[in-house]
Amino acid sequence: MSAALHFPASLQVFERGWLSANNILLTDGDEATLIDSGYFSHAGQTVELVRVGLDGRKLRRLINTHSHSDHIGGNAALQRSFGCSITIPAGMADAVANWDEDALLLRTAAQKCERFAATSLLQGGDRFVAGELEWQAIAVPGHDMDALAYYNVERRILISGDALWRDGFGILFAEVLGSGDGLGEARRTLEAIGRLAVDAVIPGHGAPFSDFDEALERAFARLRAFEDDGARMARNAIRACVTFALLDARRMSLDELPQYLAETPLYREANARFLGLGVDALADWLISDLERAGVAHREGTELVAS
Amino acid sequence: MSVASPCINICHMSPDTGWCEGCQRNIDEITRWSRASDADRHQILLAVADRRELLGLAPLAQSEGARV
Ligand SMILES: [Zn+2]
Repeated sequence: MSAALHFPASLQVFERGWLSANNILLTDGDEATLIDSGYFSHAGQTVELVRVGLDGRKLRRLINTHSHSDHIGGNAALQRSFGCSITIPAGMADAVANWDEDALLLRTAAQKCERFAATSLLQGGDRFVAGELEWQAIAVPGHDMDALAYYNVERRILISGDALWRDGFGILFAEVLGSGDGLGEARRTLEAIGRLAVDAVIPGHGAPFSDFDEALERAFARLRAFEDDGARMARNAIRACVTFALLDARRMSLDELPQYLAETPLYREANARFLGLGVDALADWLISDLERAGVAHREGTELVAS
Repeated sequence: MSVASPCINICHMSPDTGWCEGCQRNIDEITRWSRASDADRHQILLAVADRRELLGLAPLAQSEGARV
């Protein structure tokens, strides 16, 4: 991949970072559809990016791949700014309608999101037109049990959310929390999307990519490693979620870290189910691990995002 | 591998400069990044380096950023 992937002019990708998922703007004449809205604290920039991308068109519809805070965090702000409808995967309908902060993993992972109301639902097998292309919704449970990917067969484009990245996939929350068969579902999902003909993947995070087969191989390798070693999966989940929190807050008190790890359900469960460490030992491991990875460093009494 | 995005997850536009407070790209540069050529991306990164110098900020590390 020596240059940007070429997509039709009716499809724009706004590549974001790790805190905000990528946004995909699909235009049809003077109307448009957006897929995923980024994180709550970045909503101002998301609205500006969409406004530039719209270039005078009307944003009719916002569609989510799944219900995590880095994909739905701008929903409310976008609806306020553009008056768009909001379509979500059917499996998350109740969690959104009741604003169930456990089911949405907000309380579970200590993340923030502005409440919104969905106007319609999509499920696996449903089809819709956006960006002059027909998309088929495909159920991709694993990272999120209700997640959908969107696939266009003519252009062989897969909008994969966090079910498949160029290097891996999102945290298998159900497996880490003990609430479902995250590993088994992720394997079935990778097998199912592996049967599709795909020339370009637009992932939830990272640049769009074309080396689909290699990405699948890497994802299967990671999955095998998690199947063989639950502790590795748990450490990975803790590291990823704390990194997310650090990117959001920029700094955390080192003194309060053990308590934060003990009180936040994701860390508590991951540790209890797979690691069995004392909370201070967990904090010590985490700090040195994040420092080694160059994600964070100690500054006086604080852990600061690098 | 094409030129990596300079996003550092501080994604807020400064009302004073019109640049992102994290990566110092303007809104047009962020919007077009994923369809920009490598030459265009290098141009944007040069502009970013100038703007950071103007603001008295250290150069952005040429890393992939945090991988979650
Ligand atoms: Zn997710």
